[in-house]
Amino acid sequence: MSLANRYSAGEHRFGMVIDIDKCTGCGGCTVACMSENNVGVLYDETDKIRSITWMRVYQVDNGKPFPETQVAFFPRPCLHCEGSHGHHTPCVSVCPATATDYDPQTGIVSQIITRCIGCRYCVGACPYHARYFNWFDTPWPAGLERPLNPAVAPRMRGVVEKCTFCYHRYQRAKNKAFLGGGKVEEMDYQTACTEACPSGAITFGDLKNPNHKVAQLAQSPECFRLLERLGTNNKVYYRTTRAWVRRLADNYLKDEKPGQVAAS
Amino acid sequence: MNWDRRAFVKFAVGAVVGLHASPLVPKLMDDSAIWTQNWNWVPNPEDGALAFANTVNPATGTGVKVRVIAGRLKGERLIRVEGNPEHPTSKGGVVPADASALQNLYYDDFRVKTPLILDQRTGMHVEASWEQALDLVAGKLAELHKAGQAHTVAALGTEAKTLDGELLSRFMAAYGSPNTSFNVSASDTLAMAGWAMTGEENLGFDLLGANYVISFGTPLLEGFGSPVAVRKAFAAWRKDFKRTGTLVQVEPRASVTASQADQWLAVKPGTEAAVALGLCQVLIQEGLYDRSIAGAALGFEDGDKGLGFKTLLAKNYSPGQVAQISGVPVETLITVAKAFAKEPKAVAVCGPGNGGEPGRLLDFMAVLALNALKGNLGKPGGLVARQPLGLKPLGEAVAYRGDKPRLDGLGTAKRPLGAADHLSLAKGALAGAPYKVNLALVAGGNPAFCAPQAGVVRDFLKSVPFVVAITPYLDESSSQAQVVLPCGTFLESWGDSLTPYGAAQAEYGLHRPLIKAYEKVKSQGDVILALAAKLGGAVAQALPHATAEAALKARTAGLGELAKLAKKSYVVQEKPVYGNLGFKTPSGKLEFFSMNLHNLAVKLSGEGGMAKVLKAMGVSAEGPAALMPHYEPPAALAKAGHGRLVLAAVASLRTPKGDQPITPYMLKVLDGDTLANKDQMVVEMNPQTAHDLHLYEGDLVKVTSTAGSTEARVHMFAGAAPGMVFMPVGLGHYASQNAYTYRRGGNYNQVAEATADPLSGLPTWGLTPVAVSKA
Amino acid sequence: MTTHEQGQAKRSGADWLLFVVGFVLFSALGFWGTPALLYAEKPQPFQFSHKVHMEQVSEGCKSCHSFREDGSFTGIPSTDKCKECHSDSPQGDTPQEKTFVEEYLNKGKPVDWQVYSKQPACVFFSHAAHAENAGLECKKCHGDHGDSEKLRTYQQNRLTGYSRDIWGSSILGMGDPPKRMKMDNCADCHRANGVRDACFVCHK
Repeated sequence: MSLANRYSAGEHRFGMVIDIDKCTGCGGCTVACMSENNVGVLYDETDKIRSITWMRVYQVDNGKPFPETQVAFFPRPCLHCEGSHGHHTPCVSVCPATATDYDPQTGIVSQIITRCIGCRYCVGACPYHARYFNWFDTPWPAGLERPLNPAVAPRMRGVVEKCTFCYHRYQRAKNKAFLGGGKVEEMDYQTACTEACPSGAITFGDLKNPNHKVAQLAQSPECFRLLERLGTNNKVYYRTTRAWVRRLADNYLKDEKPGQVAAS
Repeated sequence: MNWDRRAFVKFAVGAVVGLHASPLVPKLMDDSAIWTQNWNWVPNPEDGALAFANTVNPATGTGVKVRVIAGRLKGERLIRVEGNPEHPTSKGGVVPADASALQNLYYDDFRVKTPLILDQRTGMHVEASWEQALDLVAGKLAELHKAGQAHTVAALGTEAKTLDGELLSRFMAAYGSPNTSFNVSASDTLAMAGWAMTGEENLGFDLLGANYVISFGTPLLEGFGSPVAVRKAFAAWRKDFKRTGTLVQVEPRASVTASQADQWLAVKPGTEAAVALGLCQVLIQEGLYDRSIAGAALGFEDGDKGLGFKTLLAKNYSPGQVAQISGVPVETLITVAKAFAKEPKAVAVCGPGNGGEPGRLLDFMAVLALNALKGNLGKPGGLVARQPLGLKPLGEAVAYRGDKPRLDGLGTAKRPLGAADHLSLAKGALAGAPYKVNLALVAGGNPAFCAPQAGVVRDFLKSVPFVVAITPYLDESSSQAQVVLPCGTFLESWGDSLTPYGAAQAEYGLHRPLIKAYEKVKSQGDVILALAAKLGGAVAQALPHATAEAALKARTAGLGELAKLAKKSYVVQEKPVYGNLGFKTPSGKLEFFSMNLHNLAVKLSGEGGMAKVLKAMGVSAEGPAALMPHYEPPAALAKAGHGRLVLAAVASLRTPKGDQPITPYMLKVLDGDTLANKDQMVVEMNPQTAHDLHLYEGDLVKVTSTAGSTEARVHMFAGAAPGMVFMPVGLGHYASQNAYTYRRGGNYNQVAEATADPLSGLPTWGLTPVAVSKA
Repeated sequence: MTTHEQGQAKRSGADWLLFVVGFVLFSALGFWGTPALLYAEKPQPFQFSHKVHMEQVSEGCKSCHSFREDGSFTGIPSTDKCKECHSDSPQGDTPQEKTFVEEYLNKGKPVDWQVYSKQPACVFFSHAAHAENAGLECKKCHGDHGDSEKLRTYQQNRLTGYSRDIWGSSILGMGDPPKRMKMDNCADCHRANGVRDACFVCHK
């Protein structure tokens, strides 16, 4: 199926291509994301179940003994699933409070913190652990509240939050376009992690716009999505040439070959 | 109508229904729902006009843009540090140390906000005015000077050649002390290797131009030079899903660089130089080497100096012998050497070690030899000479004119080469020979925590009766100081940064005050200048500038107007300069047999005693080979075995480099294989090695060396070389009792043992024999 | 007749009057008491006449409440903006202007106005989208604030900290902008005009 046809009607489908063969796991994207989106630091962040990282870099290895060992990294933002036929985004379909929705025009899954009742159904529904619950109020001790970004509302305890593809940057880019009478161009709207990545492993843009680089790159047969067979129909594509990395992207049976198994 | 129970009930029911018919209930419901969404302790950052300011982070060399919000009510604040896409080498990328820099700026619990003076009775720092603090320090300095004890003042700076470093050096020389030390880095080693073999000290690797790179034991993607610039080159080798460059990594651990490389040569620890020499030998035996320059180099063929480099290689570094030493199979050596020779633009790279150590001079010389044989000197994608930036000196040269020997022994027969480093200074001072230190001035850094074998520096500072720290942070060094003078981070002060290690183009970074986060904080340069003015006399003459800004203006006079430069924040040469290296060696040729080293040894000894001099410099090879690139087994390895493991560092960009404290964000992105259970450091071990020691995943162990010990949890990682233990760097701060970084893990620098590197005499602490036992 | 029956008989419809009294009394209390209970009156730092200013400027509201180059909206102008016209001595003879010039302008101090239409932190409102792109007039949401001679009393919700203008002057929560600025009002207008109403259109 061609890239654009994978998704329902709607002007844009913002998405990413992440080149795992370029990612060096430095964590630049995670920190850039946190400073952009006012994600704070709890006093104990080794408890990764409670640690909030909208963009988390997972380390994997090939499980082989020395000296054949290799490691690789999967940076994981919210994957902004569309689900089949334009709805059934896993988290959106379970939210009892309509605190999260799928924007048919941009393909971005929202999360409205003031509407969230903290039931955490969505956290359970998300197959990618992209959603985080605020078990505590984020501490902003002694001066650390000063660098807070006014474009993003800080969260309170008891609500769920997640990556928004830096939607506020899209809003601001549109503001500028409204004033200048122009359009939001590819480079006007880029997420904080994309900008920050020193190896340029992340490409962001509109998957429906054939002029956008992301749409061109995502066509590559080396690209795949995480747990594709779940039918989440998400918009974050990964790319690798390493067979073992590719295998880790889904639960393949021993005799199955990645890339040859049809997505549902 | 009676006012009885029934009547009352009617009235009450009416009242209740009436109240519910009014908007009270729905309104209160709505409002209380909103109330729960807006706790007043959740901050609501003020919006305002957004502006961007350029600067360069001196800790990483990254060109960054800082977002400044000008709020109508609360005024300006910096909200974010992001990459500057216009910066020619870092091109908009950032690493965690850049992106979290504001936490070092704004976290009150990290910062020194006003001058502090130690109250001797309570042992606590009390706030003081600048006038008081400077008077106290200047008074002490004047007193020592008057007593003829000026040489017993020591200064510990950070980078020698930056503005702050130059100011400090001038200050100390004019004041009358030879004891100024700085952080040592791989730049020192590369300069020495270049000086020894090519006569050119400013060498760089044209990574962006190369399409075949072999990296010898250096964490190319995790802390080499400017990390962002290196990644930009790496990204270019893999642009748009196409591999246009090949990366070969030589090291003992499946690191990020090794895994991202197209080929990983897993070597035994410390044997990278042998691999480089083995590749040299393959190039020669296959006839694939450059004959015009390398073939004509001094000491290549056998001659009047004795055996030539060619014979040395054939004798000691045949693929079979190298395979024996390094564990890399013969066929692999041959294929890699052939691929290296075949690629027109190929370069071999050496650099800092995983713990930030300056590398070993003989290893660097071996890598230089490989590049020379490849014939890439001065060529695109090869080893290039950087052109100078054209910075002006701050005045006439000021040198120490006294007759007192240096505490670190630099320049004597024991340490003819090298650079003034903190550890040697501390060791000399602790020995008290020939004299003790009466006052130590720690300028800008945190040597009690970050210096090699930090425990020695910490003990040294403890032994000094009067310590002055000029620093932005409450850290392990400033907490030991009698007087703490607050200086700014790069976001709030004037200063500069020089070309990052190994860069092909000369770079210059400027930073200026973008915000006044704390009223009393000054630029480090301003503090030194204020002290100089107070002391008067020769010191004031040597430092005539009124402010750091004025000094910077004088320094950059050749580059343009300071105001404009500072706004742009960087000067970067457009392209590497290609062309012949020129060979400013005594022979005027490339030298495999280093005449510079030879002449130095001769000068120290007279022809006869040269062997003795070289032995004292730590070289075990004899004859002409001693002055040629060759492999010397690291001292640490000799002591390993017999139940001892070899400790090495894990290079990572999630932990800080150099003197920068770890930030809360950096701690947050550490995975469970670096920090676990809130405050326990995790060390990596090969599962087989752990098994041999009866250790299992998550076991708490004590890692002990002769330098110190620390506790850690064991993580079994198949990619760790057997017989080794790998430890993260930059954890374990213990001075500032803040909620985030206080006692999170242990400090690698306190366990790693520093030894003097053969020839260069620089401290090196890449490999340490340790005992690992269950805690 | 038993006593019980007597009581029954005596009870007339007039008894129900008490129900009505209770109802009326307490619903009135609800109507009038709710706002009194809920809203605190906060003084503005000094009086300000939009009308007087409007007469002086050439470009209407935009003269002071302008867009920045990046498309963001300045909102309340900074003291520096006032300085473009005001000098360090008052131009008129009102005590308010004197206060402004002496206490704020000359000291470079920002005026801590209470903002009637301030939305909470979770709201992203784009003036560019409404005023520039859709061409709505300021009046559509802000009413005749721009022609007012005096600043109204600012009422702040004690529970939520919001300005009363958000819920609106009607305690029943009725009306459309400029009388009310709740999310429903935004959504109604968006729907009526075929503008998308996904959550992230207005939330951040």
